[in-house]
Amino acid sequence: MKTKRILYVVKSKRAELKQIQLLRVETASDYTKIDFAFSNPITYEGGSSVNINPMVFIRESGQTKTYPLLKTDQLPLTANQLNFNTKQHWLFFSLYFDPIPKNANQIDVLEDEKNQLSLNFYKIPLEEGLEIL
Amino acid sequence: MKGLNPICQNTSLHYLRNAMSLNKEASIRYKIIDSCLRNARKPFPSMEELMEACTEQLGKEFSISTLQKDIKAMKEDEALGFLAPIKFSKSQNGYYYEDKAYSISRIPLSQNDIESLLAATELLSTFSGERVSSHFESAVDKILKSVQEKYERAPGKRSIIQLENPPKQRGYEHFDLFFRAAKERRPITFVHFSYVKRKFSNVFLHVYLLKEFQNRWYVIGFSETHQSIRTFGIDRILDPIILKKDFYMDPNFDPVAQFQDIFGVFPLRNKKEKISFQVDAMLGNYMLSQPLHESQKVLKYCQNGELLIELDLLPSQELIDRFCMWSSQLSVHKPLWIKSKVESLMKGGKGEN
Repeated sequence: MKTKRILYVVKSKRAELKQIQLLRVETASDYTKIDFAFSNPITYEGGSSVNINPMVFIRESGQTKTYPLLKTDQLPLTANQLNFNTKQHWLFFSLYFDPIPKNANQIDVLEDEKNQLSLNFYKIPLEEGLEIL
Repeated sequence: MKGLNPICQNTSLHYLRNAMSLNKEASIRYKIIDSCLRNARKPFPSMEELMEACTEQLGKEFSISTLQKDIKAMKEDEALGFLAPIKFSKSQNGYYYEDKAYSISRIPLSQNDIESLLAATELLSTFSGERVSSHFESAVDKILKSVQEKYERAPGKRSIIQLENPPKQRGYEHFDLFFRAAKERRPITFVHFSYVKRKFSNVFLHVYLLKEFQNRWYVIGFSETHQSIRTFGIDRILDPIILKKDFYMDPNFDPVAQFQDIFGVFPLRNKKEKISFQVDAMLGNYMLSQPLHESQKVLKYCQNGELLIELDLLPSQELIDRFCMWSSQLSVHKPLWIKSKVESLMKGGKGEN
């Protein structure tokens, strides 16, 4: 039996964080996939790097239950990192988490709330979900 | 049978052409006899067994003389084209093919046919691998294998056709998905990365067409996001997903008209314009031997060999790029906005005007 997969295309301004943009959330019975993109700005100066703390988690906004990271796609976990030395570089990557409840309508993605450079997104709306074929 | 080389079961044009003119029932009997003669579990079928098989499958009885005539025709009728190597074994009291690999449902090919097929497979081979998705590759591969296994080139014979076989374009791995979406009429969504704006955005697209231009592939369709027909290079499409959603077909979309009046895929304006430019004698030769677009006209042949050429089409990014590439041999006369765009680009600007 194929499980239903729902895709939420995120349009909120809250999904943009400096060079990183949260673009889509896909929910399924066994995972939650979140797609991000990173690009160095046109005004790029100096180097930058990306990675993700394996302790990153998601939660329904306003709830305490957390859903841990299952795996990453195209993004290394700390202490590894992907270096971007020119403005040519950009990256599309995905993070997979435990499945969230079907009725969730807003989520937070939190890497390290105490660190402003971390990947922290709040109140990402899950609206107008579309079924994936 | 010497001189006849069997390949490609059940696809024989030769066989079909002859079968068309045959009595349909007789052609079915030939197939039944052929199948009995090739049945490894029951070799050497007798005349009675052949008759039984025909009766069983056609639901009527046939005389010995009919079956004998059939076997004779299969063996000797040149117009029929089988020239089947059927023999009768006295010791086994039954019929058999002298050439065990023989079957009438395989194509009898002449030497000319084989040469033509080998030439065609060279062309086809360029469409496998990098240039065509796995969706089509298996079909192409089957043809290549069936021809090449049977008719290996003579040792030392060199390949004489070489087509362009560019490196794989990023995004090509999604070709099957785009094809399926267009064929099954399902909308897709993807993340698009704009090289110009360096921005990512979500796009909803109803794919109508896959187009190749200068070794790059593009998908064209109605973009819900832009509410218009749009073209996207597949190298800028990230993680496309097919959606379970109604498909929208723009009744005004005409794939032929869409690309008839353009050189390239990205129009810069929506109306056709007359674009005139002068080229030196050498470039002129190339342009005369292969026009840039079907609207190309020579307005003037100059004494020094230069040509004044006119195109009547939708200005496109690809045309501007081509003008820039040829800038040392070409100067744009009209319209002025294209002239200044090319000049700006050649001076290292961004071509804005």
